[in-house]
Amino acid sequence: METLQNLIFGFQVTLQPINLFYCLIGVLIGTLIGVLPGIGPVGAMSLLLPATFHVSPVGAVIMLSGIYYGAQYGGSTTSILVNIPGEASSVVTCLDGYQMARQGRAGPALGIAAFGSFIAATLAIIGLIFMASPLSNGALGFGPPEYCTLMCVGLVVLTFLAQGSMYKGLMMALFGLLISYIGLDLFNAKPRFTFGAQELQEGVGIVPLVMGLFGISEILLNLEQPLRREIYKAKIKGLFPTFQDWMDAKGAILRGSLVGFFLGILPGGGAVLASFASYAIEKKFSKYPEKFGTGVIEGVAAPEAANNAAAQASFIPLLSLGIPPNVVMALLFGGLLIHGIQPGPLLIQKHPDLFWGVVASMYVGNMMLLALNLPLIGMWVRVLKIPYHLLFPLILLLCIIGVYSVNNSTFDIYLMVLFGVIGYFMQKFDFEPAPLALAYVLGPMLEVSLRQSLIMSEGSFLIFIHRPIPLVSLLLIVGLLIAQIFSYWRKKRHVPGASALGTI
Amino acid sequence: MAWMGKPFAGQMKNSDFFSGLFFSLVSMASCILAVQLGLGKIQKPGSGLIPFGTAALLSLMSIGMVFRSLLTAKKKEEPQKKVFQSTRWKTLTLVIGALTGYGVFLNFLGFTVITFLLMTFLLRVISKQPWWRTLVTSMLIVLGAYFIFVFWLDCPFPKGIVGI
Repeated sequence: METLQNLIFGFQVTLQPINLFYCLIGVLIGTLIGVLPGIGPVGAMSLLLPATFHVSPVGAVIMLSGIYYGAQYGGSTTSILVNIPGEASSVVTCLDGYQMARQGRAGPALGIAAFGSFIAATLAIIGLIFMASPLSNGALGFGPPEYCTLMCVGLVVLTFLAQGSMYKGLMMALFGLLISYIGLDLFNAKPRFTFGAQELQEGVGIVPLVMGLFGISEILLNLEQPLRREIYKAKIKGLFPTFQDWMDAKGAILRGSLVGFFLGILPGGGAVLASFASYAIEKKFSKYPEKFGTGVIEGVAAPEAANNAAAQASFIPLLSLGIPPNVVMALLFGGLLIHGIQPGPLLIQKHPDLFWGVVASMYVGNMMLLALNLPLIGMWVRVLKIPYHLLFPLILLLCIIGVYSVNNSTFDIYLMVLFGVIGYFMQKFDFEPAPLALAYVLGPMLEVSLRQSLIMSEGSFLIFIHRPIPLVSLLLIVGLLIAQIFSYWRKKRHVPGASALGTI
Repeated sequence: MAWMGKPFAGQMKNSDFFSGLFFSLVSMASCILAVQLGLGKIQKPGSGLIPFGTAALLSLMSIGMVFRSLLTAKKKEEPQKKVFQSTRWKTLTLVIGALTGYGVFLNFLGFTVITFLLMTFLLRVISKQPWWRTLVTSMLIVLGAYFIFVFWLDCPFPKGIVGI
């Protein structure tokens, strides 16, 4: 009953005209950047972060989260019609989505992607409502050792699940931690790694770092490999899937939602992993796995449901524990801090308008997305026709404006360019930027909790073993590392000469 | 796109030697700086203790990567990927230079003038658009940006010598 009352309160917050406006702007921008290959939700969110400084915290979070889940909807459009994933989480949708379009079934593919996403998002929001509160109540008893080890788990899981090598992922996480130490020491205000630069006293800003790593570097990479787009030209009809389509896709949507929800909660998980995992599971469950990749509707429904469920579920660890599970949530975490709100177990109690408002806005936002993505599909197809060579100067300008307007400092522009170059070379050398960004955000919290733990235990690391949650977390970390090493040795036995770092 | 360059992920390459070397240097320098900050005691960690631990771990991993790449190169076990095969160095340098130049001249020339110059440069030199399209598009972008960010959102951008 209390939950229902809270939810009604949330809808009262969301349905205020100004918050509805922010929600609409968020999902509209999310769909746009989802449709456009070349800029992801992280880039778009960091771009809009400075613009939200003048907005209320609730409005800001409603808009920023709208971008994230909106991008999941938009990404499928590009995958189905152009065979280029608009987002990383829509890569697998290309496999069957584009084949369906080639067979003249672009309408049902787009339809099932949108309806499947909507159903998955609805289920995930229900899960969010019932899980976040008990989790945050439980987290009230957490001390520095619990937080320290949970954050370590998040970092290790992220590197474990990364597309490339775990070894390189761990190196990136350590590099991200080193960057996070730049600035004043949180314990005694002593400057660290600032090299006398006044601008570095407050540390490296999250906006120049993320914008450089994910925005500028992406543009630099795209400029050397122009994206070829062959847009599906026939008229799109029959957006509402047939009864048979629904029958075929219903199991895939439900399984995709479940997989997405649990992988979304997992630290280091998120929409990308969820879409890949759900496609693999669907193929395994299918009576005709050999048909996957030739245009089966389950191959579109499952990953699209999963990426949306994961996008909603990843809010759970952020809003209830104060631990961002992925880079997008890390950015939202930064946004909340800028607004003076500390994400954590007390957030639901201290800022019920924010928590319940955001939850309700997700539902409203998903309904808006359904309206935006189906009847207005023609508009998004036209957007797709904008050539990249005209688009990239605009994206660069938006990056500069976004970075400059945080502190009105040209130093931040230089930092963004520097991280853009670093990100470009990192991707060239197969280092992923995501562990770096997440470690950078978790760095200060991780350091504080580790130092506090050591002070509490008078220098004994046994504090991490004597408590149940840190012990389980440490065992999980060790287990993951052993699993990875074991998998390497197994591969090496089968493929002599396989290299250690490349596989681990 | 990030995931497009992944077919070679999971292979050990000569490039790992250079990236390992880079991270070794960065992490070792960080170790020295962390020691200078003061490590304190384990019971009461100083400002440099945690950064030192992080940098030391990164050093070990980077050195491991360098050694491993040397061993792999010796055995010539795997095909080497040419990391910068597709890199257009001229475009890369020009874009980075243009962005840096934007930062250098922003305060002096003002938001509108420097934005117009940047857009003109990118559209003409990088995108190779004809002059008329370059100038018209740049003008439209500047007007749009001015309307949204200066007029509507009230962002305090520098006006520079021109005063707009």
